[in-house]
Amino acid sequence: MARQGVNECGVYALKFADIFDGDKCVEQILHYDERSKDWKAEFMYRVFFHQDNKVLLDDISEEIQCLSPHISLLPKEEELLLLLTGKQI
Amino acid sequence: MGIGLLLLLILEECSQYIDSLYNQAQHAGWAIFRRMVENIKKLWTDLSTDMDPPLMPLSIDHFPTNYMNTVKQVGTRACGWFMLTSIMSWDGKCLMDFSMKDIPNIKKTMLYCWAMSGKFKIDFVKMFGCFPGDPIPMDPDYFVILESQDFISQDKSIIISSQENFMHVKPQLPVFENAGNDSSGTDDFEVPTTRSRKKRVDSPAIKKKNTTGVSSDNIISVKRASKRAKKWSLPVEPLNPGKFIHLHKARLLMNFILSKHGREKFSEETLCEFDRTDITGAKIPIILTGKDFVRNFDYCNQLEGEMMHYVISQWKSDPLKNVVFASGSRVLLSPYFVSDILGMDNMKSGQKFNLDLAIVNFHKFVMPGEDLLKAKLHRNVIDVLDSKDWPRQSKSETTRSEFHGDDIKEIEVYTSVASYLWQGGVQEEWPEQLDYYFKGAALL
Repeated sequence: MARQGVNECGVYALKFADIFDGDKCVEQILHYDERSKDWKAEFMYRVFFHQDNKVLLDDISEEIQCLSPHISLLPKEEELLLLLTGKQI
Repeated sequence: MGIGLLLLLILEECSQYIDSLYNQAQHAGWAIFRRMVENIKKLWTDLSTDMDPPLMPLSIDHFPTNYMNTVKQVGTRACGWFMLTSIMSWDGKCLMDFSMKDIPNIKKTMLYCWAMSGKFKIDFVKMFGCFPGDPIPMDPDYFVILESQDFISQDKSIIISSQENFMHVKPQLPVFENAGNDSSGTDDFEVPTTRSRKKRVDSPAIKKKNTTGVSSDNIISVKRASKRAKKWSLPVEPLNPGKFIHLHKARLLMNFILSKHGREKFSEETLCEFDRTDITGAKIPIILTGKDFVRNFDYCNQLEGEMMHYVISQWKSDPLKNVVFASGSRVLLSPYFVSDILGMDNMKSGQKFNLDLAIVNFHKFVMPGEDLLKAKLHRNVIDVLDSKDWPRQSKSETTRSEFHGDDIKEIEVYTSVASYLWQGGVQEEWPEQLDYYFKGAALL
């Protein structure tokens, strides 16, 4: 199996659970896969916008309301997020 | 014998000659077929006018005999299978693209079809180990009857006195020495078909590779349980790789939450709130603040079981993903299985393990539609997918199996407990290996 980075056991465990079909992994995972950041982002997103989350969308910060799977992200909203995050636009 | 197939095509006005043994240039094949064709033509002419209504055309003497260049069999014993497959698949123009390597699977398919047809008096349960319609337990021993005949050398015959022996005693088949046919004629139940295995004779990992998966029947065993060919695995909803459609938004969200601005803003803010029901039925509010997300998702931080639980439960409700879970044969247990069902947290604090409560709650714990027993029947193998870095390059004497040994044992125990609880503790005795975890924790 692919080797994990530091403290990434949970991330790799979930990833393997996701892609192991009983016979094989349907997606190739590399040692210390750089995509683990994306997996983490996906997992966070899934928890954040979980259907059982009792926190209403209107009650969370406006900056991240636009990230809901049910709302289209406008360019100006993305720019604002990148600005607040400190990333180059 | 080679297969001889002569097809009389009235509409096409020709005779079609298909041969899996002789090629077009070999006289032996043509000699037999010409004689057959001549006899058929003579019979047709003699009978055509006597039939009511008369055969049309009245004569087929002018029909040419065409030779179809097809894939040839290996050896001389597969002619019947080539013939049956050709008859079934040929539509007058096209023949199924099959070859010698497909014959083992064709044999199995045909045997199962014949058994299910209801036209033969067979002991289905004895032959397949289950009742008709049930998932077949894919123990390779049940299918030893289907070994290619080419595997049996001419000077060593296997004498089977009864069908019962045939089903339960696997004969020692001699090694097949035809290097050109080493894979094509084999029964492929023992061949792991889906994993690429690089042969590296100089690596200690290879020597111990078979110990990474252990037969679930015996915790002590280090022998890898046999795998069945993918083609004969029970139907399970295929798992397709797919890109997360909200990945761009997810990246923005994570970067924002983990940014300096996000940490300050959401540190104490409730971002998620869930209701969780624990093993006693009490509802526990789960509050996740920005600080919790940072603790779980920040660089080099560890994802906790709670967070994993909600990822898994979200998968199961995601229309794009839950189809594989809805099939019931793929069961993904939440990390709460360890804390809630096995009660590990309670045991650490000195509480006793309540078996009855665990059995009741485990059934509630498994999602509707998920079937642990069905999943278990699919493959009697425990695959340990371990991403921990075994120091293969070091000169350490720790083998891979030793390195992963405790993990394997733990997973074995979890599986045994899950199976035991799922079946309602109906086994006569408490499985001995479960004491590995419950040692010192007296049952209520």
